Amino acid sequence: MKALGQAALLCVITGVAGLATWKIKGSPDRTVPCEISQLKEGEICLSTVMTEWQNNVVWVDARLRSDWKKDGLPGSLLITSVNGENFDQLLEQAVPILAEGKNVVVYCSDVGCGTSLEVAKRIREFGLAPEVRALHGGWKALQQAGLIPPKP
Amino acid sequence: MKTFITLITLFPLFAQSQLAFDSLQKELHAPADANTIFCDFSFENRSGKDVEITRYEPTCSCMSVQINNNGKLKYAPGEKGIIRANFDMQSYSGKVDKLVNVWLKGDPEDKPSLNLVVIVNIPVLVEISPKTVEWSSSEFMSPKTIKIKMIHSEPIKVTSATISNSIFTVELKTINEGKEYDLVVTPVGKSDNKVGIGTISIETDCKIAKQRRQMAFAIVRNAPVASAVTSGAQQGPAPVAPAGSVE
Repeated sequence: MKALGQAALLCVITGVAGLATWKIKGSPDRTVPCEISQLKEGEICLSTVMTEWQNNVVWVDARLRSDWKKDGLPGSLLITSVNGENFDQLLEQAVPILAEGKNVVVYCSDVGCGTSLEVAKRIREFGLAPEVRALHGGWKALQQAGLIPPKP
Repeated sequence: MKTFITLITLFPLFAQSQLAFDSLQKELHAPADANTIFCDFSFENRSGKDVEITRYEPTCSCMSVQINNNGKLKYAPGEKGIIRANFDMQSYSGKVDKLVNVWLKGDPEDKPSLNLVVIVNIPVLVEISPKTVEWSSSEFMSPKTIKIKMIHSEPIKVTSATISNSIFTVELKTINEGKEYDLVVTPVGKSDNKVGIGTISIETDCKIAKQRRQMAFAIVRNAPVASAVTSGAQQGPAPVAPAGSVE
């Protein structure tokens, strides 16, 4: 019983400390962490895109078509090879925009997804854009940064 | 109290258990005509506690994952198992990396303990280089050549080569039948009608369907405006008018 009382007291103290931290420091930073030194070849951090490339970007969604339609970044193009999509056909449709001279950033779902790297590599092979990179953290990084509009 | 605090601080150590894998990354070389390939990752529980796999997921719908022993998920110390990653290669060629994420009991939802990497090399039989030829509208419109090379023991013939935009012409030249071709692309648009994009379709008699049709592009861009170079402005090629805006 004594141990239970002590455990309860510890929980209360911890809870109060946590609440105080929240009030002082604000809500926790939920953005997807991105260390430039940890990036795979062909990847880019969202912070780099926003600060260095700014509006000079064409966004490419490499997820499922249903996901792109549901909550893709507004203005993004769908270019992917998943779920039987015809990559060549999607690329051909997107070429007029890809060839505008802007940098291209490809995203898939999140950190573990490898499709964006592969799609970026295939787009890069055509030499259509100055830079083609895969977004580290994918759609999740965009959502955590507040770039995906909330559902109405 | 001391016992309680000791237990709390040591709990994270008890919660961490590991499966030791023969390798977390494997590279395969697939035959050009293969549709599927699989890769086995062997593991062993070398910790002193039971380890439970709670979830395993490939990062691509082109893969499926199985665990041996009828999907056994809980492994006692010393027990061994195999995770098999099956890869459907039908729409892929070249070097492809795919990932399988594995969660163990106690892992956060967004942080799997293990990332198994499968690198598959699928031979490219028809090599196109470059895949895009381009001109600036201010430069002389000299013909440019796309090289087509067959990297296969058997001959692969180009059966046709066409371009979607009439501001360009294409001429196929045979260098070595079944082995090497040149595709000469020339912009022929008039001075007020020469900016645009054409998709080049190259058809071959390659027996492997996914490599039978190849694609390349031809682009004539507007000449860059010298005064438009400011900080943050694009450093790449000048914009091109969207396809369809030029007859």
